[in-house]
Amino acid sequence: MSSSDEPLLEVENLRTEFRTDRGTVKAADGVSFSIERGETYGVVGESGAGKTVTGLSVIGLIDNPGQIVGGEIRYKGRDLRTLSQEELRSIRGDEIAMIFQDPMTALNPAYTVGTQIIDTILTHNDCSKSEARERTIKLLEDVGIPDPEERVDSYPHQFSGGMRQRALIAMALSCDPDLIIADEPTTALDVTIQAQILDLLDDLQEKHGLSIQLITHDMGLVAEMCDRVSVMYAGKKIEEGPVGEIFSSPKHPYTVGLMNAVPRLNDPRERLEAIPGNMPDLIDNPSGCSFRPRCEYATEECKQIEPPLEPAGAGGAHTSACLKLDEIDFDTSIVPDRTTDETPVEGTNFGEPIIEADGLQKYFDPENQSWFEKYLGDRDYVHAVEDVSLTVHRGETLGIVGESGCGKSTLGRVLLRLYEPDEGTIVYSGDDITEMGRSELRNLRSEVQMVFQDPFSSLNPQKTVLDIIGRPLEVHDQVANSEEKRERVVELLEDVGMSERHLNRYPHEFSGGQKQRIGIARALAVEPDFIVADEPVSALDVSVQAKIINMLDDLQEKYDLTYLFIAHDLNVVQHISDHIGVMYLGEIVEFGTVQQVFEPPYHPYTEILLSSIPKHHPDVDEERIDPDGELPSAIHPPSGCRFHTRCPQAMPECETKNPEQRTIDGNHEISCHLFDSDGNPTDEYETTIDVSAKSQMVDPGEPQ
Amino acid sequence: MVYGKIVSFARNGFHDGSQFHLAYKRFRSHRLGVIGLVIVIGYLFFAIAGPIIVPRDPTAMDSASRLAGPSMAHPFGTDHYGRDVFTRTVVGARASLQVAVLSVGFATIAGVTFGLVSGFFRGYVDEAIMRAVDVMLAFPSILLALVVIAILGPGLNRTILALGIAYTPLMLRITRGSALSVREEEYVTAAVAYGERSWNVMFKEMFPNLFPTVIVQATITFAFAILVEAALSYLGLSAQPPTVTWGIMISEGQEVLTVNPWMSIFPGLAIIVTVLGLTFLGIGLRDSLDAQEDGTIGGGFQ
Ligand SMILES: Nc1ncnc2c1ncn2[C@@H]1O[C@H](COP(=O)(O)OP(=O)(O)OP(=O)(O)O)[C@@H](O)[C@H]1O
Ligand code: SF4
Ligand code: SF4
Ligand SMILES: [Mg+2]
Repeated sequence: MSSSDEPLLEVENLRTEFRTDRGTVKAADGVSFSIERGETYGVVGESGAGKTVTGLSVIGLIDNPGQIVGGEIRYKGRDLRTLSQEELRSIRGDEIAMIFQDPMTALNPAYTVGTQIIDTILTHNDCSKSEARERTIKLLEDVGIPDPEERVDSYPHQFSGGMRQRALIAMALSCDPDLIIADEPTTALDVTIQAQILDLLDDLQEKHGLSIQLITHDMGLVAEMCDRVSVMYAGKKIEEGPVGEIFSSPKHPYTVGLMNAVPRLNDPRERLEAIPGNMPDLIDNPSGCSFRPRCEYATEECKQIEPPLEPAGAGGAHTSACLKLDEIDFDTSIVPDRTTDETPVEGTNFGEPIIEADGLQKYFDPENQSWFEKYLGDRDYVHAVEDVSLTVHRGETLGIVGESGCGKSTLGRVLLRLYEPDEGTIVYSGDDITEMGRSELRNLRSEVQMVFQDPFSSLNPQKTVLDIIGRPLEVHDQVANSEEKRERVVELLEDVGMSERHLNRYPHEFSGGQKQRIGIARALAVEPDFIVADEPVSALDVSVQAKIINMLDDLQEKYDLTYLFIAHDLNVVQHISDHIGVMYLGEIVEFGTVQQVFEPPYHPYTEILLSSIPKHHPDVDEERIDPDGELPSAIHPPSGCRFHTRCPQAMPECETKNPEQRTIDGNHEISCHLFDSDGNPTDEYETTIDVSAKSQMVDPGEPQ
Repeated sequence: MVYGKIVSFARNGFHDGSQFHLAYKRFRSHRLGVIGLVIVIGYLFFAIAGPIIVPRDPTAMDSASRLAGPSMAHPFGTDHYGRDVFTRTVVGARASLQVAVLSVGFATIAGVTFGLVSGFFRGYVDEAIMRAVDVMLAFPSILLALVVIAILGPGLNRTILALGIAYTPLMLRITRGSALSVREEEYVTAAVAYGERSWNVMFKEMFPNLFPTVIVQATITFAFAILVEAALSYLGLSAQPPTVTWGIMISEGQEVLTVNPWMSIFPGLAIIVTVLGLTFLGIGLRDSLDAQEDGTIGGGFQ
C-alpha cells in the first residue's frame, strides 16, 4: 500500500483514439486529473465530449477500434497501462468498479439478478457459493431492495428501472472497491428515483469510504454530489476546480454557457441563453482553442494558440483553459436568479378554449396477458389514463409532468385521438372529436399535430428530409406540385433554423438536435393550431435543449400555436408553460398556473417532485423529501388516493376514500384529503420545502 | 407498388453512407454470400436461357446409347430412353424456377400484406389473423401442401398454389413480427398523426423498413420451395412427364439405379447446389442487411 496522502487515482495526459473510416477520432486528447480518497469527482460536458471514454480508459475497457495511445493512469501508485490483462481483470471490480447509464442493458436478462452478483463475487473472492449468496442478499439489502431474500432470485425484467440500478450498484459494491466510476447513473431514471439513488450513493460512500468519479451532463447533479469537478469539451478538460468555486465564479466561457443554458426554477428569463453552434466532431478539431467557433470572446489569438490550463482564482485548485481568462468579466455573464419582488411574467389573457377534455379514460391490455386470459379468464387492464378532465386555451402552453409510466404520453395521444379513448369526450374548437368519422378525423389531422420524444425513432430512416416534411402537405393537398412542395419545405426548414442544403439528406446524417428540428418542421407543415409535444427536448444536450425551447417559443408567437408540453423535467416545464398539470398514475392530482403549482400549498406529490430536483448551486442548503418506493403498477392501482402508498402525509382515510378535487383559489385545483371543501389546507397539512430556497443564488462576488 | 419501391431502393439506396451502401459493402466481403450469389446467378441463367442454349432436344431419344455413363458426347450420360441427362438437367431448372418464383411470390405478397395489416392495426384484427396462422402453422408446410394437392389433384400449377398457400403463414408471421416493432417507431405514429391513409402508412412508411427481413426470408423460402417441388414431383404429385423436372428425373433414375446411378446423381446434385446457393445467399443477405432477428434460417425448417 502506498502512502495515504497520494491521490487514489492519477491520470496524466491520457490520449485515447478511435480509428474510423472517416479518420481518427481523438476522444480523449491529453486529459489529466486525479481523485483523492473519499472524494466525489465530477466530470461534466455535453454528449460527445469524451467523458465516457475517459472513464472506460481508466479501467482498460477500450475496445477496438479504440486505443489508448498515450498517457499514464496511476492507481495507488501502479501504472495500470503496464499491467497484463489478467492483473487488470483483478483490479476491475475488486478495486475499481463501474456503474453504467442504462440499467436495462447492463444486466443479462437470461440470469437472475442474484446469480449475476454471486458470479461477480466468486470471480474475485475465494468463498463458497452459499457464502456468496448470503453476501449478495446483504448487499441487496444495503442498496435498499425490499425483501432481498426473495428478490435475489428475480430476473432483471422483474425489476423496475430504479431497482435494476440498485442491483448494479450492489454488484459494483460486491468486491469492496475503493473507486466507483458512475457513468450517468441516474440519467435513465425519474427525478424521484434519481434522488433515492443519489442518497444511496452518498450513504454508501460514507459507510465504505469510497471515491466516486461521477460522469454526467447534468450540472444539478454535480452541485448536489461532487467535491470537485472538471468540465470537458471536445476531448479536453477545459476547467477544473472545487464545486463551490466553479458554480460561483466559473472561469471559462463554455462553463458559463452550460450553466446559462439550463432553465431553472425561479428563472427570470423569457429566453434561454443557448451556446451557438455545435461541438466539433473530434476528427478535425479546429486549431487553437477548440471552443473558438462558438465563443463570443474569440479573437485571432485564440485561433493560433491552444490555451493551456492555468490557475484561475485564489488557492490554485481552480484552473481554466482560456486565453482571455483575465480579460473576460465572468461575473456579469452569469444570469442571476429572479429576485423575490420580481413576479414572473404570466400571460393571463388567453383565448377561448381550444381543447376541452372531460372524463377521459384509457385502458390497455397488459403485455403478458394471453388471449385466453383476455377472453375467458380474469381480464386485467393497465389503467393508463383515469378520469382526466382538462381545458387548454388558445395560445397557451399547458405543461404535463409526472413520473415515467404515469400516463402522460397516453393522455397526449388520446387527446389527438391517436388512441381511442375508452370513455369521455374531447371537444376541439367546438367539435366533439370522439364522435368524428374517418374523413372528418383526417381533416382534423391538419389542425392538430404531434412532436415526439425520440429524434432517432421519429423520422423514417428510408426517406429524405424533403419527403418527410413534404408528405403531410401532399396528404392534405396543400401543395399542387413538387415545385411548390419543395418551396414550402424550404420555408419550413428555415423556420426551424435549417436550410435548403438539407433537403435531400437522410435522417442518419443529422445530429439529435437537427432531427428534432426536422420533426418540428413536419408538425408545422400543415399549419396546425394545436401541437402535443411529448418530451421534445428530453433526449437532447442542455445547449441544444435551450435552442429548441427558444425555437418553440418563437414559433408559438409567430403562428399563434397552442402547446400541450409533456416533460418529466420540472425546470423545463416551468420555463415554457403557462399552466401545469401534475399527473400521478393516470390522474391529474394538481392543476394550476405555474406560480400556483410551484408555490405552497402543494399537493404532497408535487412537493416531492419539486424537492427531488437537484439543486442548482452547491451552497444551497435544503432538505429533500423522498417518496417511499416507486410508482406502483397501473394494473392494480392502489385504492383510495392512488398516492397513499408513497405519501409521507398519508392518513387512514387516504387508503379507502378517493380524494375529491378541491379548488384552492381561482383555478388552482388539488385532489387530496389534506384540503377541506373550501380549498383550505387542514391542520394536518404541512409543507417543508420552499422552492425559493432551492434557487437562491449565492452572491457571485464572493467565491467560498 | 412494391416493385416501384424496390426500384427506388436500388436508386436511392446506394447514396453514400446510406444503409444500403453499407449493406452492399458488407455483402461484398461476405464470402459465403458471394458464393451463393454466383450459384444463384448460374441457376437463373440455366433456368431462363437453358432450353435455348442446350445442344439437344431433351426428349430426343438416342437408341444407340442408352443408360450410358458420362462421356464427351453426353457429359452427364443418358437415360433408359437414350435421352441426354445434361440437357434434361438444364431444362429441369426451369420447372423448379417456375414453381419457386410463383409460389414464393404468392406467399410473399399475401404474407406481407396480411402481416402488415396485422402489425399495423393490432388488436382484434391481429388476433383474428394470428389465430388463423396458428392453425395453419400447426401442420408442417409440406403436409399442408400435400393436403392442398390431395384436394386439387396433382399438377405443376397446383403445386405452385399449394406451396404458395403453405408458405404464406411463414411469411406472414415474420412480417408481422417486424411490423409490430416498426409500428412502435414514432415515425409511424407521426404518419397517422398527419392523416396518412392506413394503406400508405403500411406500404410507404413501414414496408421499406421491413424490406430486409422480407427479402431474406423470401430467399430462404425459395430454397425450400425448390426442395419441396423436387420431392413432390419425385412422388409424382407435381408436374407429370413429359415435363422435365429434377424430381421426375430422380424418380425415373431410381428404377435403374444399379445400372446407371448417374441418371439420379446429376439432378440430385443440381438440387443440392441450388438449394445451398440460395441458402448461402440468404445468410449473406441476412448478415449484411442487418435483418430482424426473426428473419432467421430456422423460420423455414418446418
Ligand atoms: N400500447 C400500450 N399497451 C399496453 N400498455 C401501455 C401501452 N401504452 C402505454 N401503456 C402503459 O400505460 C401506462 C402509461 O404509459 P405512458 O406511456 O402514457 O406513460 P408516460 O407518463 O408517458 O411515461 P414516460 O415518461 O416513460 O414516457 C404505463 O403503465 C404503460 O406501460
Ligand atoms: S481561448 Fe479564446 S476562444 Fe477559447 S474560450 Fe477563451 S476566449 Fe474563447
Ligand atoms: S389524499 Fe392522502 S395519500 Fe393522497 S396525497 Fe393527500 S395526504 Fe397523501
Ligand atoms: Mg411518454
